[in-house]
Amino acid sequence: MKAVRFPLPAGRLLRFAGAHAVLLVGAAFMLLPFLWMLLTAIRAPDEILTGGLNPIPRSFHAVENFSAAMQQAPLLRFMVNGVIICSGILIIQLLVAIPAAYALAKLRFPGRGLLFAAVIGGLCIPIQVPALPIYLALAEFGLLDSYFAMMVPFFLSVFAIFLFRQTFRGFPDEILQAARVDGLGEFEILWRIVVPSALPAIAAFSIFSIVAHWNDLYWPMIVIQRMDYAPPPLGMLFFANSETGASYGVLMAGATIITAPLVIVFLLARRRFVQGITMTGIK
Amino acid sequence: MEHSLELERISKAFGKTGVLSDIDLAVEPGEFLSLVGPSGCGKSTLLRIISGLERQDSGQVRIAGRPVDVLSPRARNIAMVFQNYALYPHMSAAENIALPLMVDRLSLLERLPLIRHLSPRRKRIEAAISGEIGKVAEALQIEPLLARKPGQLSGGQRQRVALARAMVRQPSLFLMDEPLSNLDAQLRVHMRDELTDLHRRLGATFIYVTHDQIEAMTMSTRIAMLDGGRLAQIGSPADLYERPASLTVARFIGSPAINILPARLDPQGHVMLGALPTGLVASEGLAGPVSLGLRPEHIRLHAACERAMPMATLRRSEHHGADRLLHLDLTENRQTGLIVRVPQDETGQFQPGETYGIGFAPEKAHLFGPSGLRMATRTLPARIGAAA
Repeated sequence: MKAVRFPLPAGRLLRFAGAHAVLLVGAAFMLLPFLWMLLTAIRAPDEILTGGLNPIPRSFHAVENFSAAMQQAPLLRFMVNGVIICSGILIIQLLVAIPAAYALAKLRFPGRGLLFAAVIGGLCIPIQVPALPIYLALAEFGLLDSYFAMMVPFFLSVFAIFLFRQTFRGFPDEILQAARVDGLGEFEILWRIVVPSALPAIAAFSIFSIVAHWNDLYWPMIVIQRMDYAPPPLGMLFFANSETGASYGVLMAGATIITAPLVIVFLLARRRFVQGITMTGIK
Repeated sequence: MEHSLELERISKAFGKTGVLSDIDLAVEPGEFLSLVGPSGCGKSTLLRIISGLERQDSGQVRIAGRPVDVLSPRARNIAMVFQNYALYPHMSAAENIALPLMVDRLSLLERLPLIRHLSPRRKRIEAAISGEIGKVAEALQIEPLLARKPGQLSGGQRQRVALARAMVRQPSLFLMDEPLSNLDAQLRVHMRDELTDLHRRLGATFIYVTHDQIEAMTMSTRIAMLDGGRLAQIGSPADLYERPASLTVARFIGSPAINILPARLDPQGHVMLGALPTGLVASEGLAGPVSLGLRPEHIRLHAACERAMPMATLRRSEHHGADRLLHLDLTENRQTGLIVRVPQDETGQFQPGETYGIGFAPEKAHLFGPSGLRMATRTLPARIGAAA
């Protein structure tokens, strides 16, 4: 490896600065809405619309806004709902997708190619397409306004099957054969030998799944009418309509509270997440 | 005593490509049998069929006299060692070695996470297992490595752990699929030694797949050579070296490779090199082209030749320690190179660029017909063109 020399030659310095300028602009685009949300959450109500673009609040109103958000809206309830829905969806998704992906990646059976083509095809279908039939079925069985109604369309994740299949394919066949000689059955091979090596991919998918369903507004809005079952975004919507009116400070304080768990989860799983995305889990 | 392993008319095809056809093989208890052959000859497939990982299309596999065709790999009481070691990556060496015993002795329920702690006999069984791991680890000198994960072990250490995992079940049959091919040259020679030693100590039957004829020659009690999905020859290393059944076997066994010279049968059955008789007579066969095989150590070079001999020019001379390998080109047929092995102290007389006469004892020569199969020969009492 070449040692870094100081000072950098002018050309390299320029390129370095240029690359970082581009990255900084990108980061600013991503982070500004969040920053603004935070700043609004700690401002006094009169300052929010009149304060212009001045980022520094003149008076701090954080305590008032956050306590108002906690008192006026059942934020905790929304977040518990979010946890129930996200974990329910994720657990079933993993239980279904992991064996399916293993079969597609490592077992030989007639129709495997066709099934995998169906999985790829499934990737192209957005939730809006089957929304109506699923809604009708749920209504028929009287299952609307329930946790189940919010979770059921997502139990089968073709994306998870696809992602895990790609990961499992890289798993050495010899190890599977060794496990068969050692007497393990296929399910035990999968859960005891293959899955522990695929943890980065599973972590990455889990983040995708949790973020998507924690933030999902579309489907809960269709099947949920009662606030008791509302996940965070739908809860915020109810809350914005009914209680706060134009009180953006309180609204943003609420938004900050419900976004926080996601940020924490991501920070905890960040390394695994990146590993899983780059598929360097196992050799 | 019944055979440790018997194969009867084993055939296998993948789709339309035939991989194995009509393999018959019987292995005595305690044998070290090597399956050799060029890559793609079907030797690994045959091993997988013996192990039960692959099913044959027809034929029968018997282990210790018992047909095992419908049995799973586990029920066959075999152990297998793989080319890439195939250790479970997230388990320590000790857990790797313990796994086959755990599967044998604990029920599925007793192996499940959480629930397993409810089993009263689990502790006792696990204690017995760790005792056995200790013994195997001692035999293979891997005790200090037991707590490590495969990623923290070197190639040779991984191979020992893989061997320990195979040994711990005390199987009747050890199947090894090129277990040394991923090791560096020095370690390979060392592990060759250790494996032979292990085979002697255990007294178990080893079936050993390799594409490296030196491994097969040095370790085996018998070698079975496969070629194009058929059994080309089976016998002791000496059999295969001294009486190869076909051109393919002759070419595969021996390093440097045997010299193959184009020759001709005259109507009387005399083997002719160009216009010169060799003193070798085919017992049967029609007049026409044949191949004459000569091991490098069986050729003598003659500086001054009084008699009519095939001539060759010395191109290069290689130092190989005790021996020297001389590379020559035949004068009559420049495409045919020739390698001659000469003891180091006799090499001084040979100079590159010089031309020498080729001589050999006809009884050391191998004759192969147009189909590549060995032909029976006898030698004429009066040798023509041969070395005195």
